Amino acid sequence: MLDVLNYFFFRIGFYLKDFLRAYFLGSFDFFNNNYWDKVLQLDRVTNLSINIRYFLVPLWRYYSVTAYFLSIIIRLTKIIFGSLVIIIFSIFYWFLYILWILMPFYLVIKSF
Amino acid sequence: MSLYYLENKYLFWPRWKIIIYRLLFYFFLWSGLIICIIISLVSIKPYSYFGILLTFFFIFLVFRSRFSDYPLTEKILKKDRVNLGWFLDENTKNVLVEARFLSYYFKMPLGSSLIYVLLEKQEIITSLKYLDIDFVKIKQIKELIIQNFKNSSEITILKQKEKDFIYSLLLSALQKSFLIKQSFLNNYCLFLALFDLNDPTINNIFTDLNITLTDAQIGIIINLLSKQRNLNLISGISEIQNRYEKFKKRAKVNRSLTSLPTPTLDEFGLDYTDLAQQYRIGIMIGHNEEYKTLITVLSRPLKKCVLLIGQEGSGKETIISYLAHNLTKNNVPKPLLDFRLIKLPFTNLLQNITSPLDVTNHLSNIVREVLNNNDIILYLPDLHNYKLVTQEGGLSSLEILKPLIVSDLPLIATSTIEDYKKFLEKDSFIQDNFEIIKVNEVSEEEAIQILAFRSIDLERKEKITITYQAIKRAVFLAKRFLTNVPLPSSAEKLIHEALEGVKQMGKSVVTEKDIVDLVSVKTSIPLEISDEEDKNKLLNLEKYLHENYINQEEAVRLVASAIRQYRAGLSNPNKPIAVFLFVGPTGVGKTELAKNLAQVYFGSVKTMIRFDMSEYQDQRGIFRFIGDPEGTTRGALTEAVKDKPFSLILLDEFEKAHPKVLDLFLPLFDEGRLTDNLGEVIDFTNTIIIATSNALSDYIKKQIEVKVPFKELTDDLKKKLTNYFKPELINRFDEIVVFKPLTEDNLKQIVKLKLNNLTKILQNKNISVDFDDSVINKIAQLGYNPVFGARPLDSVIRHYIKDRLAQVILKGEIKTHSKIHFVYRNNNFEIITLK
Repeated sequence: MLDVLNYFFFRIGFYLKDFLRAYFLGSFDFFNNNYWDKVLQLDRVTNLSINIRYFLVPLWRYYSVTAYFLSIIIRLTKIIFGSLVIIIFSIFYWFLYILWILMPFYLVIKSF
Repeated sequence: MSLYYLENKYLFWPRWKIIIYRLLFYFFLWSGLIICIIISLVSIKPYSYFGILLTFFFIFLVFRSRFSDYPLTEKILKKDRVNLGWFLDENTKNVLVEARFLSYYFKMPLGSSLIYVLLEKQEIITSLKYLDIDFVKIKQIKELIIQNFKNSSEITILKQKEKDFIYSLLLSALQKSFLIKQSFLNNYCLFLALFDLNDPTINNIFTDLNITLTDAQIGIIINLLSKQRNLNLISGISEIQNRYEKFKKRAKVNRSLTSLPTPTLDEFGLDYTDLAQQYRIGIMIGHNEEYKTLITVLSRPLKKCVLLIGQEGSGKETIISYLAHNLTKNNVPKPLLDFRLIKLPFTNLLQNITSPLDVTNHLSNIVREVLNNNDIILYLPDLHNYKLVTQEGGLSSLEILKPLIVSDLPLIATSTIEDYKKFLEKDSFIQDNFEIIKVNEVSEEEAIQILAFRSIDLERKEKITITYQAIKRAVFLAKRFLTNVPLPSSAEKLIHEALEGVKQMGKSVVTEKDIVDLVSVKTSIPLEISDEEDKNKLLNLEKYLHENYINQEEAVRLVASAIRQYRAGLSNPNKPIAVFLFVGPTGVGKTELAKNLAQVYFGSVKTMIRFDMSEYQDQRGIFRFIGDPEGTTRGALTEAVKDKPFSLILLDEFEKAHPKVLDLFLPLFDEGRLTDNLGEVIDFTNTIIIATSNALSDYIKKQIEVKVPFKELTDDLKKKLTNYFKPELINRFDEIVVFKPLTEDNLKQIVKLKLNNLTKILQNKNISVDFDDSVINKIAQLGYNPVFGARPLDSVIRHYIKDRLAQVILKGEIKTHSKIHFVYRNNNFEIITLK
């Protein structure tokens, strides 16, 4: 009987440890992976990184002064727009994560 | 190297301890959860805050307790000491515990009880359902397991032995988990691991279920795949053409806005990356080596042109569509990122043209568009077509493509082996600029996997079930009989045809029998599902051969014995079934025995491929057999065997062929394979080869007249035949079969046999006929010629009997249900009508 109790407490201890690991480390992995997934999706939609990479290449590869001029304006607009979208998304996203992390501490402090 | 061990008390506890633990755990879990929810809701501050926190913990516990302690990750598996118990989920732990209790209760080995428990689990039942094993069959097997051990009293399982068993089982399960890509040791892994135990009882159960490890693995993979969201992947490349129009018109620009518009390419090309994006193409099973080479070549800095060569349906298109899938997933090396893959079939360029110059113009535009961009992989199917079509002024389409080929842009082309040999192999430009990748057909296991997977989609569309055994049989038979088309296409065609047949018959299931019947019709070879009849035929081969064949008992015995040895597995399997040299005077039944053998062994005389070797008296004969080196004509022998791999090859008047032609047969008789002019290896291991020869006929006659024993005569002949054939060729024959000249009695029997066949034909017309002995004697007398043996017999019967019968039937002198009697009197054949 004693070894049943031993095993029970061992399992509960294991799950408690795992809960803390999952809540703080696991949730960071989850948030972080999810964040990069979403950022890459947004990047695909807004074409941010690709416009940075090809910043000095004119649109349609027409190497003329006008094309350079137009290209820089269009690419810059796209970069600014894309950056703004990703920055705003990141702020909201990580704010949510901070709330998630702080919640247990808040609950513990409020309990005592 | 990690050390694997097993430490988990729970697995080996007695039943009462397990019950107490479960009660304790679930009481703690559910009461804890309910109490915490109540505390959180009733707002007893400050405890409600703590209640919320604990509620999180208990909700976590509800889900977490179902999974294993750790997932099967590389990081954990690399630890110094790895406890196999860490990877067991709750369900699997309970299966092992239940199996232990069952083994105690019925006094059966743990392996048997484990398979019993696993056969009760829904995921295993569903997986087996994909292998045509229904619930009734599973129930029968379970009852059989219990019956086997009901009265057993011998099993006393020692604790350590039990632990060793579970340890080795889990170790195997760990290996299996990699095969089916599982992150825990679950019931699927345990089920597959049972195959590794080499336990006779378990093996018997799998034999009863009629499954192998590969089958079980396929069943589980299909079950796992069918749960995935993107199942429309399986619709595969066959769907593309139907949806082609729909996607053609879209404007194509890459994301970096650096590419120029490609209006001509968009009009005539088909964007594979688009189709892959929509999961319409992209699945690939097998062909991993070819794909790896393709990626390596396409992503190297220079000379990025690839030419995939393979038979029609060997998987060239599959490899390319898988590349398209990976391009959309960015799962390609850096140099290929952000590339589009566009297919440009030559036939598309011929659409809506008003003059031949339009093709040149369109192609020039496409080349310019692709060169102006830096993000297109052009895929040119059937590259030989581009070379073949030549414009006025002698400029071929391939010439127009040359700037693209010599550029550093990646390009993929395909061609069949035959067309490559004919049109491309000698082109130094192709050889210098293309990396040739040969696409081999997939293995039988891979073909089964592909078809089992595709059948799910087919079943959904057609509302007809395709049994797993039918798929397996289709692959097995296609590999052996339909060798012109590679796997899985050949087997897929069979399944589609069988499906149409089943639909017309109003049935709802394609069974193994439907496939066997279809192949029997296609090949004219009567195939059997069970091999009992086949074995019976082999054991009584002499009897079957003599049903339509008189005399030459010794020859028949030798032939039958050689074939039995082959089928019993006592002969070299890498040789033809048998290689005989039939020697004897003309008209003694050499060809007739070959025909009978084809009829009895392969089920039809149509399976006999006959070559008159007197037509191959010069050296060029070699090229007529295997095809000329230029690739313009195919070999008569190699093509015939490719068409009919199960056949009897009759080489008439073998000694008359040119010695160089005879040398061709040395490796064929020895290794059972021959390489044709296109470098394709043709398999002869399912053929019977019979060479006939009239050499030394007079010597044989004389020796038989002086009653020299048969064995002595054969040995003597072997020596004398070296005047006609090289000794190494003679030694490669399994048997040299000597045919005796026919006696008068033999001839009469042959006449009777032939007239019996005629009687049967007339019986079908409801005319009964019998022949007087005088007729038989006269026909035998007329039908024998000292030079040609019994060869004139057929023409004598035709002239004196059939011709007479035809006249009286056409004149209406004999009506249906008449009875007639044939006699020979007054130097004349007469017909007497009895009724």
